[in-house]
Amino acid sequence: MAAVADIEPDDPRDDLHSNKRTTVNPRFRDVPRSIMSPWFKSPYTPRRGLIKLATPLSRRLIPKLRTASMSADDEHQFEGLLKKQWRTYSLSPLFNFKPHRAVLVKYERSLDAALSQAQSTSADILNSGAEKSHFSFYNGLKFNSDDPAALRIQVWEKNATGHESKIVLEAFLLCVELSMSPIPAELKAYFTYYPVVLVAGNKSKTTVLFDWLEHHFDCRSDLLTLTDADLRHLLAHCSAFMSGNKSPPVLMQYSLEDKCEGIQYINCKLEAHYCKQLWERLFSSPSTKRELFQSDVDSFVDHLEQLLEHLMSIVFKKLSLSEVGTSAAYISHAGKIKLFSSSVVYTALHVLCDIANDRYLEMAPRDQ
Amino acid sequence: MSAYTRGKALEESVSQGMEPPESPTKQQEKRLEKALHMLTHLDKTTSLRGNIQFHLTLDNLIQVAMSHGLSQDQLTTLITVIGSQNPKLTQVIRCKLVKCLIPSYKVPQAAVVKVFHIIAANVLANPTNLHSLLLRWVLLVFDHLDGYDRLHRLYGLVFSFIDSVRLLPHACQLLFLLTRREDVVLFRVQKLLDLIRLQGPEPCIMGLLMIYKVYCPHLVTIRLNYGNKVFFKNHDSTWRATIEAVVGQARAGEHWEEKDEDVRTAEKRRERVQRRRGAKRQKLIVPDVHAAMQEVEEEEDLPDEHTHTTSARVPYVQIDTFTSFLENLDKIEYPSQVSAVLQDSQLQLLMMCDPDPVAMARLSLWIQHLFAFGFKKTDEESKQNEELLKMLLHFAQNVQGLPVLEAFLCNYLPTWDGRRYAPVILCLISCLKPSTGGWDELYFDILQPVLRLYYSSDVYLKVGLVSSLTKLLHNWATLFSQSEKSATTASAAISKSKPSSSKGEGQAEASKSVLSEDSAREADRSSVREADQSSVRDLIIYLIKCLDTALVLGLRMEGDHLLLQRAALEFVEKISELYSKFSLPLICFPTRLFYRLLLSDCPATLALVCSCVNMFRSSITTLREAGQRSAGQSMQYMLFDTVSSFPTHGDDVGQSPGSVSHKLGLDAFNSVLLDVMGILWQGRMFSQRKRLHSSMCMDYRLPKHIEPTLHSKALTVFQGPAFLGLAYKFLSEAQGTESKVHPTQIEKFKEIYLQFLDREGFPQFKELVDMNLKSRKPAEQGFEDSVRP
Repeated sequence: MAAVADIEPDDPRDDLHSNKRTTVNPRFRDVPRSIMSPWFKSPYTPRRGLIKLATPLSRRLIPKLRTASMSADDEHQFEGLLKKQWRTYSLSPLFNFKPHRAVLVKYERSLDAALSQAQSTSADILNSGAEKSHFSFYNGLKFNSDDPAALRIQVWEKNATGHESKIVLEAFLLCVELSMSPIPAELKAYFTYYPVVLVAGNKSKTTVLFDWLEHHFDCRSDLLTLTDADLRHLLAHCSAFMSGNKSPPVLMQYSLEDKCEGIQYINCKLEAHYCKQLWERLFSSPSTKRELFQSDVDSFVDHLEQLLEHLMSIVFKKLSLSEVGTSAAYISHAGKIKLFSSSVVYTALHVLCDIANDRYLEMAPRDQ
Repeated sequence: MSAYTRGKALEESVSQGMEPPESPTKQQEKRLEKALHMLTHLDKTTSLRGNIQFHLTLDNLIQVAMSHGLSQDQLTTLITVIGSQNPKLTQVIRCKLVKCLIPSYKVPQAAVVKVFHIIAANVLANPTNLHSLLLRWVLLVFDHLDGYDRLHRLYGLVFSFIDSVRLLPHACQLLFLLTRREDVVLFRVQKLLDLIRLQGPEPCIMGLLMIYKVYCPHLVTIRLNYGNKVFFKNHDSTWRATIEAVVGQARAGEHWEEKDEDVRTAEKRRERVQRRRGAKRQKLIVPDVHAAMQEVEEEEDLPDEHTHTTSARVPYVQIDTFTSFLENLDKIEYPSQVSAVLQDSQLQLLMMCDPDPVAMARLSLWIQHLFAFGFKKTDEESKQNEELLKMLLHFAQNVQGLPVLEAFLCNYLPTWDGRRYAPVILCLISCLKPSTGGWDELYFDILQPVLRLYYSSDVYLKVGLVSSLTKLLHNWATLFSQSEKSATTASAAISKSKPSSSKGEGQAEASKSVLSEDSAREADRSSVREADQSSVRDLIIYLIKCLDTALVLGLRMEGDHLLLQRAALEFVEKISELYSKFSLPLICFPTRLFYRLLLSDCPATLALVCSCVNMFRSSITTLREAGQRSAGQSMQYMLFDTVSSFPTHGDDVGQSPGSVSHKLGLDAFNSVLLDVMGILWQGRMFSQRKRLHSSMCMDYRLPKHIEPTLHSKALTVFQGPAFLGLAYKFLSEAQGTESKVHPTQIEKFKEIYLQFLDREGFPQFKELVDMNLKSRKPAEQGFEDSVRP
């Protein structure tokens, strides 16, 4: 067992960590307010139906329809998804999106026009029209019949000979086994909901893509930043799928922004073997433990934090996680994610989709 | 010459039959009319070569047109002359006449249609320089046309002009200006591509293709080089400058306010688009109106040459004026991003007139996402957030039924500091709809965080919150009143549609069966309406009780601050009007608040308390009379106060309007009335009314050591601390400033003092005494010392 802590000084150039955290303590997001404030004695009877199912109490480790997690053989299913750094965005429901191959061709042409127009207004006008987009459905991520098939958008840049040479932008529009849809049942025919978009590539092209989506499908996109509670969830879920003894250590990076002048982050690295053992001691294996409850997540991460506290006499529980990483996946609070193993694809994307959906549902009208 | 001699000369000239000298403008008009008359009546046989009179007339015409421009009729007349078949009018003369087509203000579409007619007649033969000049004139006056609908109908005709090399650049530019999405069809694209193949990539053709590609990228698949950004050359700069100068001169004479409403709307929209273009690359919080969605619609939805004219839906982007908006109200298609409605009042009007659940869902989902992910609570974003909230407030006030607002407030209020966006948030609270979850949901989601802030903030936020909740009460009462009115209208319609006995038997049977269906449907609707009404009424009752408590505590905390007293009185006033103004058969008397306000040291507050007591008294009397009148009918009124007779939580307040509750409520009111009269007028402190006190679980008895020292007249209108200044003024006026005065001296002259108070702007005290003292009431009015149970 070993735990290593690196204390990082402030680095103003490090833009990865520059995003500000939200002021609300996200740990209490799941907790009903009546429980949060027991000191308040209301003269009225407690509210019925206070929990509006905005946040499910559990998140799945393996898909409903499968009995075991995915193995390394399934890796071919996730071609293009692994070992790439993705930026996560949330997307509101797409209006009038038609999931047919014939219509996708039209979408391609329309996006091409948008890309060439954006290029024509930029400084590099000579290269306008040099991009070609390609839309396709990615069947490997359809874990539930209710989910829309994941959409893959690739933007290729043509070389001087007019052939497509390299991908400048790749995006996945995902919906992985949501527990609850934000779209009212009577309007489901009009909307297609992809709560999460993974994007890798050029920033200006990303802007064009999201502008195009917003203009043509009456939706809204925003960067999906992850809170401390979200990262704890992802850490607990991804720790279930760590590989053997020689895998890289588990990273828990804590942010000290606005807390301690001169120190910005504390990087704690724990042996993967220890984390895996702890996970198995607590929950057996992912095949038997199919979903993790909030209490499970808390107990797993609390155990790790207690160990760190014991070793370093720092109350890590009081700090906020800014990055977590295992041998299976790496996730930062700025919404960057990198998946290393096919076994973690489902759970990581499911948790991400659930997080985005939960936040979206928090703002849903009461009577919905 | 003096004014007198000038007047004399004028009189003489009139008496001699001479016409008075004309103004220069009139003279010019006359010359112009004469010239146009001559041109229209030219003899086809008379030669114009060397015709001095003709050339002088032409010079006159040019001079006047260049300086003052031509009216709409004159323009049309001149174009008719230009297109006439007179062989004597040479090409040079016609070109000269074209140059005279300077509009004074607006150019009628009919004139441009005539121009197209002249060009089209020769386009197949050989278009001359004259035709090119006419087309250039259309381009120059394009911005000054009085409309574009007729012009757009000739799009196909203008497209045919591109076959002529002479007309091609001008026709392309005109098409560029006229093109709408529905004009972009495959054969036109192919025609342009053929032209490129024949003539090379002319900038004008590329420009037209570019606009085609913007509208329909799937039809224009070739790669366009945007390097050459000047697609259309700027011809005739001097001519354009002359036209702009003349039109500008005419416009300067007009005031902005006098302009046509439609022109103003169009100009505003154009300005906004230009402003938006300036702020390029900056992501807008609310998108602009556009129709990009049509671009990716399915193949069968794509318009062809014929469908666009008869298309059922009209995209909102094509609506230029309010008149066309009204004409197409039932056919307007929402913009591709419905959230553009937030900054377009015309679209809000559309949403109100023609509510579309899908459009509302699109807007709700968009706002939901914005609040969930885009509403950053940082200082940098605060201005943008405030702007958005203002837009939402404006929308919520215009178009009702945006439930996502409630969810936003539920999530935002627990973390609200009471300062950021305070005016907007307070207004948004007052716009809340009655929640379906009842009082519990409203209390825990909205009122609890708001009351926490109320108890921990300064008096200004307290006043803001109370005013906001009073406004909320007002809005709910209005909602109840509207629902009541619609119920009355519906029942009246049903009773009207009952079959009359004079009808035939078969007809009566048929109408009976239809009626039974209607009445069943109406019964369903009325039961839903009643349930809604009762839930609104319950919410109002609980809100009154909640505010009663909060206001008393707030007044104690703030040392009876005058601003808070004023807000409290507005609230009391609103409750007293519930029946008289909103037809809500409910009187809920805020007892605690009344007693608190009765101890105020401000005469204005006490005057308003008296006014409110009077209002409550008349409301109670009217309500009870109405209740007695409709004893056999279903009217059930509710009368109670917030302390002694308030139903306990969990009881359905709407179901138990029993006589016991009424009696207790009436007792509470009578008790307050007697106390107000006793304290202010009769010199009698809080009376002992055991029944009331036991139900209120309170004891008003004073401590024994204070009781003997307390003067029973200490709070009267002449001795009370609130009235010391007024009493001193009254005594000073009566006895002068030198003698020693004491308020007790007024007791014998109370009646005169009341008149003095009336004169000083407090007539409420006199009204209270007049209304509630038996001895002072006129004989014809009822003799009731108080409202009798």
